[in-house]
Amino acid sequence: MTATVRSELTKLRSHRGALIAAAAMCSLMVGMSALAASESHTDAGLGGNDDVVQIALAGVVFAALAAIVVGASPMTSEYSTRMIRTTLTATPGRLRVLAAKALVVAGVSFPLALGASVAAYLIGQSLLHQRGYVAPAYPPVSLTDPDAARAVVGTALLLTAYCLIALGIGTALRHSGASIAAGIGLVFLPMLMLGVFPEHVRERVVQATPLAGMAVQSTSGRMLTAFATVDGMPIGPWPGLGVAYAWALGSLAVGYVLLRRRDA
Amino acid sequence: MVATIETHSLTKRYGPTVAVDDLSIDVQPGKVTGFVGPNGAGKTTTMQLLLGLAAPQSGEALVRGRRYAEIERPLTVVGALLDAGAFHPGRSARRHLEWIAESNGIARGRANEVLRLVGLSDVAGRRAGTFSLGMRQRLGIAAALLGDPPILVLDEPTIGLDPEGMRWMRQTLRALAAEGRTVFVSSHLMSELEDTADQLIVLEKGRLLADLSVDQLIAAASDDEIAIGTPDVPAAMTVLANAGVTPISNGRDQVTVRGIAPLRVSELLASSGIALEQLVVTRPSLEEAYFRLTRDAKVER
Repeated sequence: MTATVRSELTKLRSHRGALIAAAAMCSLMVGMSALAASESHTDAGLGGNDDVVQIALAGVVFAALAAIVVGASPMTSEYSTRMIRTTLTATPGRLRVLAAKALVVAGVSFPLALGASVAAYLIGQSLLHQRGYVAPAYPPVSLTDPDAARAVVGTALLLTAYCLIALGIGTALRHSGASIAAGIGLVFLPMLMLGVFPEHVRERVVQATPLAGMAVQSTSGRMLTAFATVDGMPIGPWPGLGVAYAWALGSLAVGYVLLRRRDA
Repeated sequence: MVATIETHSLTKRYGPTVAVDDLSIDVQPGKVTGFVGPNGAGKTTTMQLLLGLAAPQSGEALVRGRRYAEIERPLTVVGALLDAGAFHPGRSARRHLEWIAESNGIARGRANEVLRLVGLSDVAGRRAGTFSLGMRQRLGIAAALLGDPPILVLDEPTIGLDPEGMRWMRQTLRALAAEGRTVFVSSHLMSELEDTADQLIVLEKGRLLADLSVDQLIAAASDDEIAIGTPDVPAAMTVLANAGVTPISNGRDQVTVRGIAPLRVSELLASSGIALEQLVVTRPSLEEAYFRLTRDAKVER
């Protein structure tokens, strides 16, 4: 298993497409969060209940797009180049190959996402401070504040979950375009649905789709997504992240079953 | 000798098409075994089944008595070249070999060794996607040799090679077999195996048509034709006819005959006091022999 992981790490390090996607994930996380922060404003001194932690991490929605490419491409590029046959000849154990890929994808994307998440948070707080988010209504929230720390680390974990969901989809569909489209659909369709469905359906959507992971960012009792705000918390922060990881596990399980059953 | 590769009643269907049909073969070490048949005969599928890339409907394919998937660090037992283009075009040749080496716990430095072995040292850092077909085949051979395996499985390794590359491949295969390795190599062109293979396994429509040595194939498909040059054609004709064969005269100074050993011919002529000016044995080419064999097989059915 160690050998397989090492080999997958060498592959990822020399896979330009995945590296570019990883860089895009970090840039979008920092850049779009900063944009969200600089677009927010409040009248200094007046009260308000904006979630300054969540605003500073709002770029996660866009970073998720790149995360899907980061997760899917290590597998789909093997099919488009037929390299999968070389891989499975070198390591006939399908479970071992997929597990090693998952470990490497998660092991590489989590630290990168964490770095980007921390940077986004610090830049966001500084921008929000300039936009009128000051004490007493908005006292500074340090990175070490438990809720803030949970949101920042949780955001990195959420992006990692999206990478893993996409890896499972890529294994099942074997085609880059189809996998990325399916991954984006899975992450964004629930958000779009929020605007269309009645309240009780919305709640179910937030609880049961990968969107639930967004709850990990909330420190104000409301969930913010790019396209809608959900009043109240249909699901708690950690359980929400748990749902996203359940999707990752489910997607990898489907991928594994198909990888095992199909001829390469 | 112990078979290193064997299949037992191996059968693989894709929908209604039978790609491999009840195939039982065994491949011996120390020889180059040619796996021959027209395109679509099931050669590649058989190799995929052997390497666990595809699963058979019935029967089994074994390497040293075990299923390929059960071998720990399989590249140190079997080196395979199934598809010379099966690499990521953006990765350098060296990096490509390095990840393969790492996956089987083979030292990374081995990548440089095999690159030297196949003559790609100078382009080791170049993106493999820029390689010519011949260079890709060499890279594929390099990958197959990484684990210094006793068994090599190569699918059409000579396809797309120029004459120089072809010669290199032939010498390489012969050298590997001479080291005692099992070399199992497919080709749809019999002529490409002419000076390479010792043993031939002939496949047609997924079925085993023949499994025999190159010498046997040529002997079985056609007797040697013997041309005898002699000043006394009529006497030679009589002697040979009495020996039970059918000599044919060209009307001048030559008699041709089949179905008799060259030594017997010279003995017969000598004992009758007939001068022998020349004796030429013409062997049919491997391809000719193969065509006769497949034609005969078709007639039988």
